Amino acid sequence: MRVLVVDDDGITGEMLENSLGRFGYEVTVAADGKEAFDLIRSGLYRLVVCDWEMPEMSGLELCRQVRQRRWSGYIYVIILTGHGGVGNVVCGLDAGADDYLTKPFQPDELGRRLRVGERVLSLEARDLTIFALAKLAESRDIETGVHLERMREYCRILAEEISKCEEYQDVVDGQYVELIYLTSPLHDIGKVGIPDRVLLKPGRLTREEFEIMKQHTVIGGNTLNAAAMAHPEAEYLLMARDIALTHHERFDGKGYPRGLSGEEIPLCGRIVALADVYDALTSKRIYKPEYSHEIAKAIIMDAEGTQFDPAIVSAFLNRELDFLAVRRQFQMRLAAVG
Amino acid sequence: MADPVDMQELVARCMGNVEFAERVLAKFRARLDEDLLELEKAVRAEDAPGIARVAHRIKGAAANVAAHGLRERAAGIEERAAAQALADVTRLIDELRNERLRLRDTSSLVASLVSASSSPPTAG
Ligand SMILES: [Fe+2]
Repeated sequence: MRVLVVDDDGITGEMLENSLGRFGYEVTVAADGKEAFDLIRSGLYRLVVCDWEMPEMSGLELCRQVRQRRWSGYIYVIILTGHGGVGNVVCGLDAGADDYLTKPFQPDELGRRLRVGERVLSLEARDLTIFALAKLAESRDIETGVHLERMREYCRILAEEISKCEEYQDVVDGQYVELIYLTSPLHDIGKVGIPDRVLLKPGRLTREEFEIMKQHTVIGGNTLNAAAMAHPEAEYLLMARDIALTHHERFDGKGYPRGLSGEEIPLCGRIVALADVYDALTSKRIYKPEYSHEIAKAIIMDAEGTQFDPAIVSAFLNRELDFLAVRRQFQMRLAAVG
Repeated sequence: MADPVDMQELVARCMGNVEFAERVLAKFRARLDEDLLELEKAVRAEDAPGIARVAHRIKGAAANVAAHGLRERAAGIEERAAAQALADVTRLIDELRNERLRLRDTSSLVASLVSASSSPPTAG
């Protein structure tokens, strides 16, 4: 397990690295809060051991900033400091620190506290919950689960590409990419609440049936919203909710369920919209053949600015080789399975 | 007179790695020299917050390497500077300097530690 050590004092940093290395942790040392925050944004660190007093950004400030953002998983922070006293402990815990140790550190004690942190992280049921929910969604979907697996890959590629845009640099980081990868398979979870006669109907839907079908966005959004309210610590549920609710919105405002347009649609919804359509186009469905990448690409380009956000379309065009690679990879997998 | 550095404690904090402990001490000495110069500069300028800041840094670093004599003096200086009572700060800095001189060569300390234990310290 990786640990991020943050200390402006190089000697302490080195000693912590030595101790934690012996305990089997993979240690990275950051010399200040800013550097640490950037490393945390990479999505690689869930355990942080942090000095209190540092120039530029203090340990407390780092804690506050970590708590303000939506991460793919919980970040466990232990504050290490020369300050003693109950008042200071309260101050540290208030800022969002999980644990508090006074300097000089005792390796055994620090090791024990880190184990506690690991336990807390593993207890976090996020991945299991998402997996169970995605399976549930899958069970009601006439498409195979491969659709969900491909789509999350497309979402990841698009988010990665979007992170290079200046406009989205502050929003889309490693954490965001991981989060959309995890939560995009839940986009159609609301289909659980659509009656079989509509969901499984082989032919074209009547206008009335289509209205019912559209409700899968609202049902999914409401369900995930209720879960998010009940578990405010599980922030991934907020993105899952946004995706379920808005993945059928259109950039020009002619989508459903709310007819949102442009930036009113959360970025994750705009990304999933394109990924979902690309996969539907390039897959065989009961009502349509499998289109080639070229045809799918032409259809998507044609819908730039109407159905899709131009920024997402250009991300797609920049990464179309990666889309093709994902498709091929899954074709090979299916062929191998027989 | 107590040892300038409690080698048992330091080596324990270094997970039994004596060589690593020696390297840490060498770095500590070099940085302490820089900090002492900065401390004296702050004293000359009668810059109480500056004195407190450097003393705090020395205190933390000294605690880390189990240099308890140094840690106590640095803590004393920090307290006085925080209270703006600079009267005997100069005396404490002299004592700090003396402690620093006693740190000149810790290799003998390390040697005594190694020979004192029947078996060399191993990683836990
Ligand atoms: Fe959908």
